[in-house]
Amino acid sequence: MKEQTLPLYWRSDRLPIEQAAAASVIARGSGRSFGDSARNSDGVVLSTTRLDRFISFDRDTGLLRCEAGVLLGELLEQTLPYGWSLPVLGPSRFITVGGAIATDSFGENQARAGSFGRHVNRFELARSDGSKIMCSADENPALFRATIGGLGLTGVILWAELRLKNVPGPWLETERLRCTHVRDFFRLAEDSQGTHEYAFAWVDALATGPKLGRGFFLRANDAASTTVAPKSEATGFGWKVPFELPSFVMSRPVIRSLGELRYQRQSAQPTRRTLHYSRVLQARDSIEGLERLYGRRGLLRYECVVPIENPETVVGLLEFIPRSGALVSRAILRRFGEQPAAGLLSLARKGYALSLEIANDGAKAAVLTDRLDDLVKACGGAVGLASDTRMSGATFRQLYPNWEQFATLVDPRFSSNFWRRVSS
Amino acid sequence: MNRVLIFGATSAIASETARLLAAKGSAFALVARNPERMAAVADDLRVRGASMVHELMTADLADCARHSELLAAAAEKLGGIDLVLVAHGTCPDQKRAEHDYDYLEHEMRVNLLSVLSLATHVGNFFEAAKAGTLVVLSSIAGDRGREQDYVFGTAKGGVALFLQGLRHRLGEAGVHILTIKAGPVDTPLLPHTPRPKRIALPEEVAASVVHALELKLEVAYAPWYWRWIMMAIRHVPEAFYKRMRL
Repeated sequence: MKEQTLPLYWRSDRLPIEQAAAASVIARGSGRSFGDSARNSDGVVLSTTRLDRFISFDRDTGLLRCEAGVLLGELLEQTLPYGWSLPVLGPSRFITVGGAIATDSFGENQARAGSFGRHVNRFELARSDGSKIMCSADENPALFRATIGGLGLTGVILWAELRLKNVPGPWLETERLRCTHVRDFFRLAEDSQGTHEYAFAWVDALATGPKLGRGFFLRANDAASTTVAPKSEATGFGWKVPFELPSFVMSRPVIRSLGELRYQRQSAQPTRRTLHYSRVLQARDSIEGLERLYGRRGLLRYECVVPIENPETVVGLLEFIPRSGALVSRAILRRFGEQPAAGLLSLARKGYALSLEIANDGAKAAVLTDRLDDLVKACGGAVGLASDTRMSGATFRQLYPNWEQFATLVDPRFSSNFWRRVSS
Repeated sequence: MNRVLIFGATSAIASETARLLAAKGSAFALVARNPERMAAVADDLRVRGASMVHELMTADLADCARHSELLAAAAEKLGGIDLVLVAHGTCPDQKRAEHDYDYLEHEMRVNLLSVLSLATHVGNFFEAAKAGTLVVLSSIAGDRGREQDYVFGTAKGGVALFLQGLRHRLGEAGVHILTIKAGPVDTPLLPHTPRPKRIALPEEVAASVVHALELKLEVAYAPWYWRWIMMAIRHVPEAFYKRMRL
């Protein structure tokens, strides 16, 4: 039986569980996840994209309530003119509020602001038995913590109340510095902790030896004054990949050359520019259909966090990547901060986070991700669940000791491809 | 400043159109059957920039006796009306209507007669005020009777013809009457099977409505390409048409 999609239109309605007959259900927002947490083969997917209404917005306190299908970009369109932004901007403006909560998404300011769930006051959760449960740190706190980062398995988030942050405008003052080796990243990350809100490093994953972890480090702050006249236009040029390219196009030499070019673009001198936040933090949004460049095989995303005491593990991970033969087309290093995780299955913990995008060529990608899992497990880190498509049950149980508590709060009618894989 | 009255405010096309108007700071009076859904739409419009939103009486618009009362209440709350959008309706079950005349009659009351009643009251109101815009959602199904949906088509076609006459009568009085003929739209109203090949999103139709308002068109097809498709279909001789399977 194919996956069947049922749209949700009104938050005052019951979930259409009866229409699903005996099949399991899972909610889906924009469907932008690299993982299979919103896929339910042989089951029903409840689409929340039409639950896209605002409920209230207090322009003095920055408290916003909206339905879970509102896109982060749509939200910012309504709030930025009044000087309010999201404390965690997330990887894309096309993901929904519900999706950001369910994956406990993070951005380039994870070290200072934590993940998305930390800025959520409360939300209403619809369960399969028809009940609608208000969840917050005070009301149903166990369900609140299970739903944040819970990948939709506890029920459907209908609406949420968010605490926005005051910003002078949508501009960021950025500084980009060259990193000749990964140790430059560690040094810059620690130096920037106290002075910059946003910080991340783009790393050339296929570099080896003395060039290991070379790339550039970008750090930024909200621009203090809105009278700044930025050099380039607001949100930058939009590109579109109109069709799927054959898989052989993005080959190893092509990716190495692109990596070299990108590294060389940043000169030895730091570059300072004032840019619109979307060009810095959500630059991928400007390319529609990026994954089509990689052909039918598509892309995998692998995210992991290594505890702060073990920076050597990051070096080990970066050393293994070129040796594995897998095609890693993108690697981003971030510092993750002290903010405690808001969710039971959250990736957030103090340390260094490595996000990889790997062309899904089958065997080599599997060898790479399995080995990375082992290295991360050995040092007491964690592997992200939101983008996962192949983690085994044993690995899941080892990395997330809270899994048993989480499993008791999963709604009996809810399941997904991800959950069936990791609970086997 | 736009003062907008919407009948059937919880319909997908109406709420998307209202969002576009709210961004310009319009004031709204809403009429719908379900109070919780109407409250959800009203909250959304307030955040999106509407200067004020009045949730008027919840009413089943098939009850034509209440129409003049609703119109008067809206005019009082908003201090006058600039735009009326008629967007309520159902999608009749064609198969059932073919055999059950009582059901057919009820559907006609909801989709045809109630719209005519509103158009009459609103037309007279605007004639007296010497200004105003009436927008009614009709359908391409009203352009030619089709086997699959002629009950729906009769209602929508009847509405279009009535508005044509009203436009003729009120042309000189400064009243603008806009008929929107929408193709299949992806809304809760659309029956699930069979799924049409060319289907529009409610926000696309809403953009067409606002565009047509700006250009002060009389009849607008949403999306635009249906104008040419229906023109071709309307010119097929009946003897051939009745044998075609569209």
